Amino acid sequence: MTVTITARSVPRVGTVLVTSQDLVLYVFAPDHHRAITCKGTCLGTWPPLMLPSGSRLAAGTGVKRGLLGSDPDPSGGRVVTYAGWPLYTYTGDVDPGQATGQNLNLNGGLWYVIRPSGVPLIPRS
Amino acid sequence: MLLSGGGLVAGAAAASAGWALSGQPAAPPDPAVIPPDDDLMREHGVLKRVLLCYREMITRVQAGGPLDAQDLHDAALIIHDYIEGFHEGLEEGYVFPRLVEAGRLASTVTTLLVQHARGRVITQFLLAGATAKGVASPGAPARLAAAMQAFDRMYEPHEAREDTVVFPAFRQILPATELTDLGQYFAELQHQEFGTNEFAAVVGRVASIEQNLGIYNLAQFTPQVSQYIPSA
Repeated sequence: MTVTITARSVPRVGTVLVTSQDLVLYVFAPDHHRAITCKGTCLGTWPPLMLPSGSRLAAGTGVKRGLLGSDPDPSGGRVVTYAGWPLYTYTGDVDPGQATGQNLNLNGGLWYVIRPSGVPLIPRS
Repeated sequence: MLLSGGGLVAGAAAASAGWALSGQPAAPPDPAVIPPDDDLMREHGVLKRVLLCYREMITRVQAGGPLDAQDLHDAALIIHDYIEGFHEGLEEGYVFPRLVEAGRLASTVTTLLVQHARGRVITQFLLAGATAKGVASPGAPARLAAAMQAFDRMYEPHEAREDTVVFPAFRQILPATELTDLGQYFAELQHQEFGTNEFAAVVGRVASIEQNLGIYNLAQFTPQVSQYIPSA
């Protein structure tokens, strides 16, 4: 099995990382691109992008293969990372190409989409 | 619209994996532990009471009265921390995915997810505006009241549908032993995230806002009906 991350242009946020099903991927500011801190009910709203055992990671169009990785999930298994950031989807994005979680403050911190460069899209205050 | 392989089902796997691999052996069922659907419904009671607080604030603004920033902030914070940051995570992680997997209520679940997302945007707006300076700016009370009204109008039917259709369907598809285990897990999660007695604490917070707004006394809502029911 292969888990592929692709870059896609999404309305209102521009070109960002998405899953193979075109679900926008997010990073969680408190993770500090180091470790997964979303746990408990946070995981219900922001499911991490898992890397099943025996699967491989693939970089789709526009994605830098060298920035792809995985971290152990405290709940078990491994979570896909990009530039060190654990990646999550958002249950509020019910269709592909939505980014309704961008800049949302929920479950203890802020959530951002992430560019193919590996930089989260943090709005200027 | 709901993606079968998308975030929701992926979330079910992640959330369920966390539940199954919590690292602790299953404890004997505690008779004091509430079934998960009952637990969610009593949390809806907290939501209902905040909706009533919003309604009172809306009424005052529409009558030309002031909007109290602290009351608005405290009410919206309960929604943010307890309803959106906890209750909805339980639904999204443990209830909705199981229903979708069972081929039940997929369209309803999609709508509920969209409404959760929309509600969070409204709450963020309310929290941002709930400052002394925020409510004093021209037009702000009316905008904040409109946002609260939209929130109320969405969440009243939302929670009613969950209580009467979604949760009963969930209870139907889950084996009794899983219901028991899940109820215990919900209690553990609440303890982990908020400490002990959180439900009582949040009810206390809502009651305090109701007292500030003058709507805590339940009896005041009993109507006088003799003017239109002469025999009453």
